[in-house]
Parts: sequence; C-alpha cells; structure tokens
Amino acid sequence: MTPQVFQILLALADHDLHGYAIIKEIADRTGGQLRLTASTLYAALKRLLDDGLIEELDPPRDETDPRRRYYRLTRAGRTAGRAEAGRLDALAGMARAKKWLPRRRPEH
Amino acid sequence: MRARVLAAAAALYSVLVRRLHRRFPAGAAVQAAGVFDALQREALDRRGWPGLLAYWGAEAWTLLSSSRLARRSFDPRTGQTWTRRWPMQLRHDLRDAWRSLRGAPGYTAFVLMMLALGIGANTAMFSVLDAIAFKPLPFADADRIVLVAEWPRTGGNWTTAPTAYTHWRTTARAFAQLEARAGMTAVLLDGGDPASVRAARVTPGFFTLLGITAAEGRTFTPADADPQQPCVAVISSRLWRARYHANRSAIGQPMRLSGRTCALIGVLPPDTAFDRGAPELYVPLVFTPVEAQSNGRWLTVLGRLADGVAIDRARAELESIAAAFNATRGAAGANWTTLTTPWRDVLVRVSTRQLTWTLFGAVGLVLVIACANIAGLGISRTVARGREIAVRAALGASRGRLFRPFLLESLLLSVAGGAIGIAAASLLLRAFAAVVPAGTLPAEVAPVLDLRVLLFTLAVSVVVGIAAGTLPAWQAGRSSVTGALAAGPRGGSGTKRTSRLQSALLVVELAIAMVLVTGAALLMVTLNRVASVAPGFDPAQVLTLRISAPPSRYASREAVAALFSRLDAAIDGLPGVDHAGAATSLPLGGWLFGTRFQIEGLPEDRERPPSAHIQQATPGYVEALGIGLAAGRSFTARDTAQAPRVAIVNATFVRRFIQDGRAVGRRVFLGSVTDDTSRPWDIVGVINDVKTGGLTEPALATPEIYVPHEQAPMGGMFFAVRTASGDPSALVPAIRQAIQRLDGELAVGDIQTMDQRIGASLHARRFRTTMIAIFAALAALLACSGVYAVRARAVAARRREIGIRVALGATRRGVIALAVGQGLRLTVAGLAIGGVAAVWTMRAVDEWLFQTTPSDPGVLTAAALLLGGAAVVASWVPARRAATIDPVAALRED
Repeated sequence: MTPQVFQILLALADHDLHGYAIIKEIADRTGGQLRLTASTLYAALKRLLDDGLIEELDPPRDETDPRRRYYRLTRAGRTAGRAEAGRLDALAGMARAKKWLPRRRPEH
Repeated sequence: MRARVLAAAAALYSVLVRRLHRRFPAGAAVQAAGVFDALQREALDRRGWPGLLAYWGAEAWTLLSSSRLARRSFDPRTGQTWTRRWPMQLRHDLRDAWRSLRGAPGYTAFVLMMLALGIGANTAMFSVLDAIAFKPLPFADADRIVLVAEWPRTGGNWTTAPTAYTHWRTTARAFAQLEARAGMTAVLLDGGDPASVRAARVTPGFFTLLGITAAEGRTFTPADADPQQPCVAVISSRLWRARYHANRSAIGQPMRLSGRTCALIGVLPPDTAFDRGAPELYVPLVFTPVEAQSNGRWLTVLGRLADGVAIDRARAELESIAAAFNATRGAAGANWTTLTTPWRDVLVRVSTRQLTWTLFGAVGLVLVIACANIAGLGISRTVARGREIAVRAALGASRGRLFRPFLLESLLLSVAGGAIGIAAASLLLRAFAAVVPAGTLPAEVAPVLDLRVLLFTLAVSVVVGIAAGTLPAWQAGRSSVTGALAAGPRGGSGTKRTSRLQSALLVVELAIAMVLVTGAALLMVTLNRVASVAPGFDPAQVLTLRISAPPSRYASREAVAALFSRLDAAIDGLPGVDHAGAATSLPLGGWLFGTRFQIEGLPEDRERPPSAHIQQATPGYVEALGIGLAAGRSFTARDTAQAPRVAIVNATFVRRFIQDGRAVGRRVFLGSVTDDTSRPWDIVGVINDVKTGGLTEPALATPEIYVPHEQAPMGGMFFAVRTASGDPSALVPAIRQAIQRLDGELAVGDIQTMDQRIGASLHARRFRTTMIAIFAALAALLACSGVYAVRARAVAARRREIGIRVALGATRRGVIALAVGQGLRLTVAGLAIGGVAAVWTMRAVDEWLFQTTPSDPGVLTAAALLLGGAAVVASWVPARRAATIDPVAALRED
C-alpha cells in the first residue's frame, strides 16, 4: 500500500468526503507535507473502488454541487487500513528497538 | 488574463485526463477536472504564478505517471514504467550533453552568442509589442475603459461637445462613469523662468475612473467642481520634482499660474503615464455658462462600462441616446452619431502598431537565420562525431538513445542562450527607449520585462532548441554504422545528404538576409531622398520659438495684435538678427487651420466650396524664413488693422484656383478669419510653396492664404528669427531678455533651430530605418558566418581530395576557384530567392517608401552585390586555406 493510498483511507476513517475535501484533509493533517494532485487522487480512488476498499455515495442533500461524488470506507477498507497501520507500527517498533526512534512515552 | 489562463488550463486538463485515463468512469474525469480547477486556483491565490506553475508541473507529472501510456511501458524485468526510468536517463543524457559542450568551448560560445543576440532582440521587441498590442493599460480594469466621442460620417477627431456630454452623462445607463478632459496650456510662474506647461481640465471623477490615487495630497472630489470653491490643481510627480523640488510643504499652497491662482492639492504617482508626457497639471473642469451651451466639440470623454455591460450594448445605448438628442440640436446634430471604442485602440496609433509588428517580424527573421545557422553547425558536429555515434549504435543504442543527447544539447544551449538573452533584452530595451522618437509610444504604455515576457522568452528558447536541434539529432539517429566505422579514425566527411541539407540551410539563411538587406536599403534610399527634398525655404541660420498671450491678460484682439507687433519689433531690433517674423504655424508642422474662401469674379462652387490653409503672419515672416516671392509684395508695417485688408497666397493656390494665373489684384472672401466676412481681402503677393505638411507632401497639396496678423490677431504665434551668422541658438538669452522686458509673465516655449525641426520631422523615418538596418546587418553577419563555417568544414573534409588534386597538378588558382565556386552557387541561389521574396514582402510597407518602389532594380542590385560580396568573402577565406594545403602532408595523414 502506497503512502498516498494509506492517507486516503485515513482521511475517510471518520467522515465521508468528496475528492477535493480528501486532498484538503490530507494536506491539513500532514501540515502540507503531502499534497495530492487531482490525477494521483483519482487514479488511487479508482484502484480503491476496484478493490472494494471504498464505495461511492450520492451527495448529501445539503450539497450545492450535484456533480460531486462522496466516498466512504467499506468494511474491507477499514480492515485493510488497520492492517497497514499495524504493519507500520510493527516496523516502527523494530526501528525503535534499534534506537532509530526515541522510546515511546509511557501511556496514561 | 488570469481567468482565461485558468480556464484554458482546466479545459486542457479535462481533455488530457479523458485521453490518458480511458478506464476512468466519465463521472470521475469530470470530478478530477473540478478538483484540478479548485487546486490550481488555491495555488495561485496562495503562492502566486510560481506556485501555479509548480502545481501544474506536479499535476502533469502525476497525470503522466499514472496514465495508460506509463502502464503500457511497464518493464517486467525492472518493474519500472518509463516515468520511473526517464529521470535517470535524462540525468545521464544531460551529463553527456554537458560534457560534449564543455569539450567544444569555441562552438558553445559562438552558438550562445548567436542565441543571446537573437533571443534577446526578440524578447525586447516582444515586450514592446506586448505593451502596445496585448497587455491591458496600467489602469484599474483597463479593458473596461472606453473612449466615446461624437462622430461625423466622414471621420472625426474623437471629441465631444459639452451639451452632448452633459446629456449622455445624465441619461446613459451602460456606463458606471463618464468623465471628460479638455486640453489647455498654462504658464507656470513658480520655481524658475515662466514655463508653459501642458495642462488639462478634467471632471472630478476622472482619476477615479482610471483608478489613480494621489501619491501626495489628494485628487479631485465632486466638491471641487463647484464654481464657488477656490481653484485647486493636481500636478504630475515630474513637475513636482522639477519645479517644487519634491517639497511636501508646497502642497496646500497657492500655485502662481499666469492669469489665475490655484491651490496645489495633490501630486500624481511617479513613473506612471502622468510622468511620460501626458498633461502635467490638472484643474477641475467646470463649464462656464457659455461653455455649457456650446456645441463646439472639444472634450475627450472616457467611460467606464458598468458591471456586466458589454461594449456592444453600451455602444447601442449611446447611439440611440445620441440619435434622439441630435434630432433636437438642429444643424449641430445633423449627420452626427457616436463612436464607442476601447481606449487602447485609440491610444496606440495604427502606424505604431504596424511599425512594431514589422520590427517584430524582422527580428523574428534574424532568429530564424540564427536557428538555421546553429542547425548547420550542429550537422557538421554530428558528422564529425560520426564515429562515436557509430560505436554507440554498434553497442546496441537505440535510435532514440542516439537522437536524444543531440536534442538535449541543443535545448541546453538554447535555454542558456535565452537566459543570457534576457540580460541582453534589458539592455536593448533601455537603448530602444532612448532612441524611439517621442510620441511613437503613447505615454500610457511602457514596455517592461515582466513575467509574460519571460514566459515568451522561455517558449522561444524551447522552440529554438527543438528547431535547431532536430536536424542534427535526426542525422545522428539515422547514420550508418558501417560507413562511419569504415571511414577511419578521423571520421567521415558526411554523406551527400548531409551536405545537401547544409546547402539548403545556407540558401534559406541567405534568402532571409536578402529580404532584410533589401528592406534596409529601400528605407535608406527613402530617407536620403526625403532629406534632400527642398522645403521651399532656407532653413539655415533660423531660430524658431513659440509665444502665447494668456487670454486672461490679453483679452481683446487689439491687445493681442499690439503685443505681437511689439514683440516682433523688439526681436527684429536685436543685434545679430537679420529678419524676424511670426506666423500661426511653421512649415512641416501640418495643417493647423483651414478656411473656406471665394475668389471674387470666379464661379462659385456651392456644393464643395474650396478651402485653404490660413496663416496669420507679421511683416518679416516671409523674409525671415527666406520664402521666395513669386509676384507682388509681402506684408509691411503699413498693413495695420485700419489699413485696407490684404492677403498673400502661395503658388499652389494660384495653380489650383486661378486659371489665368494672375492672382495679384484679385479679391478673395474668407470664411472664418474674422467676424466680418462681408469685406474682401486684396491679394497683394504670391509666394513660393513651402512644405507645410512635411517633406514628403506631394506637390499642390496645400493651398495657403496669409493675412497680416494685425488684421486678424491670434493669441499664439511661432517666431522665426534669421541670424546674420554663427549658431542661431546663441541668440536665445538675448531674445528671452527682450521678451521679459515687454512682459515678465510670457512663457517662451518650443525653442528649436529650423534645422532641428527638419531633423525632428525625419525622426520616425530615421528610427525605423535604423532599426531595420541594424536587424539587416545582424542578419547578413549571421548568414555570412554560416557560409564561412559550412565552407570551412567542407574544405577541411575534402583536404585529402584537394591534396590529390594538387599532387596531380592543380594550380593554386584552380583550387580556390573550385572551393569558392561551390559557395558562389549557393549564394546566387539564396540571393535570387531572397530578391523575389523581398519584392513581395516590401509591398506591405510600401507607404514607408518615397520616390522608390519595392522592385527598384538599382536597390535590389545594390543589396545583392553587398550581401553576395560578403558571402563570397566568407567562402573565399576557407578556399584560400585550401590552396595552401601541402599535398604530401595531406596524403601522409592516413
């Protein structure tokens, strides 16, 4: 899973969003470090749709632009995202064991 | 501009995304385009144009790398698509190109110099063209500003009567604002000698319409238009610096103008149109009761279109308002309609636009020659590197792989050349601004190197790189492996095809250079012939200057007449002055005032009454200019207001209107010179024609009538002062003193010798001749250096063959003839094609020519001999080197 795809899944974790909102959410959350282009986004969305990780919704009633499509995480998508997060966490754990990362602060 | 660029980019993206991502469902492509549009707007708002470009770059890259093109190029061995492989290859090829250029510093420097000159000149000319033809004027929302004017069916002069203006202003709904301006001259008494400054009366909203706010103080408010309020004035920043030393405390203080006093309330922003020759002093325009009723058309009216109103609607509305209004005005409105035009189209004269396009075309041709030259050199380089290419091909490099480094090399050079060209352009632009004749470019436009120009330069550089690089690269791609390897360690001499290609390029270069050289020759001949036209008077030793009597202090005709008579006598009496006299206009200045007339005793033409140029002149004017007297007498001091009315006419007047040629003794009724048109004027003299409308004025174009100044006084006159010897300018201080003694508040303006005036009347011609001549010289130089380079290569490549010829007994002369002969054939072909093209092209600028034609055989021959001679010299130099080849050495080399 590429970082872009993972970020898109993360963006959809709490809300159903349309394309532009996904790009904005990712840019805001990463402090502008990851700015998707329109082409990247739709190429990735297409793959996610094909794999059944997300689904397309009709726009909510208060949406002013009727052309907009909203996307929602499917159950499979959530599972895949969690699995990727787990993989990243495991990787981070290994890096921490080799002191590439500072020790995790104790949780409250 | 901004909106158009964004819309175009969005449209392009939407097409691309559909083509490159066929598998997208249709809805997704539309959405992607929508998101693209939102993101590009955000990038532009947040980070400006550079941010927008960066975003476009990122989008283009991801669009390509995720496209089906990329997927199709997926290489299962490396697991990469071409978008992955490409950057690596590019880096590799760039390094190759860089190394190969570093290995040939002479070639690189030569090509860079040509590119810098060619692209630099094009950049400079484009910035001029952009300023006058494309870029909005430097005012707020300038494309919404229109000029409206009353317009007669026969063509008018862009002005409007106060009655019409007031009516439009209250009725028209299509305009957010309609503001008027009227020109005037004011004599400024503060800060030095009295100086006459160009001033304007403007309605209070004038500056608001242009979106201009004061740099110091304020501009006008509606309250300033109240006639009860004290007079206020706004001045240009240039005038503020020149007369008030940029002193802020001057603001709010009264300014002493001749005849009135106005409080200085504001200074306009510096380095704007107001500092480049537009009026320098503005006062509010308040119509006097007489003016408010006036049907005289003397206002320039600018309008700002109301929001959402297209110019066509505004035009239609104004036309219908004017039609209804004109019907109520009687004779003043008959046959008049209105004109509504974008302001820019009025500001930039047609002749200026034509000149700029022509110069842009000429400089473009120079660049084409440079390109052909570089392509020719590139082919030679490809041939010389034939062995290296063959080795690469033998080792399995694909055609594209062979092609790419050559194209990249060319692009690298052209972009570097473009970068140097921008520096050259800024110098050229400064030089251009210094030599362009005043008034050619309107003050409202200023050519600058801005982002638009830089984008143009980048585009030109890339196009040049591709144009000049494709031929050599293509040569490299299709060269034969065995041939090049068999040719031995020094590389081959190229095939027949390469030499034919180079010859074709040379012919093209010479043909284009021939067009430019012919054009320059025609213009030079024209300039020479115009300058040698006899003006009809003797311009040597004559000083000219203009004096105007302020109407506030010289209200009556008698006072004006007395003032100029006294001035005439005072200047005439100065030591060193032979003759002095004044008239309402000077020769070469064009028609100023026309009058209708009727010669007593000749049949009257009621349909088309004849008209002539009318001049009021003091005694001594004819003598001061040295105009020849053909019959009768000129004016004397006895031709006073009380004396019988007399007139002098010119030879054209007699030839055109008096069939028997006997003018002296006849009487003529004049239409508009005095209020009393019932009394006739006795013709007492006939003078020779002078070139009133300029040196190129055709014979019999301007019939003229002169009347004595005292019998029909005018408030502004030009003096002509003929001096006995020496520089006439030396008399300026004495003349100034004499004038000051009579009236200390009179402004003396426009002081020039007559020779300077003649020179100034040729400025525009001299300017375009110089520009075209420079471009022609550049073109000839480039074409000849191309001839030299290609011939030198050809001779070097045939060294061995020439060695054999010499060994077999060829003479030195024979070898030179052989080598020059080939160059000569190409030259003749180029000149012939160029000559035909020149005749055809020059017809476009036919009106610039004088006493010569595009197909003038003398000029064509001279141009051909000049360019042909240079080309023969360029091919003779390498030929001479060929003649010195030592056969033994040449044959031993293998």
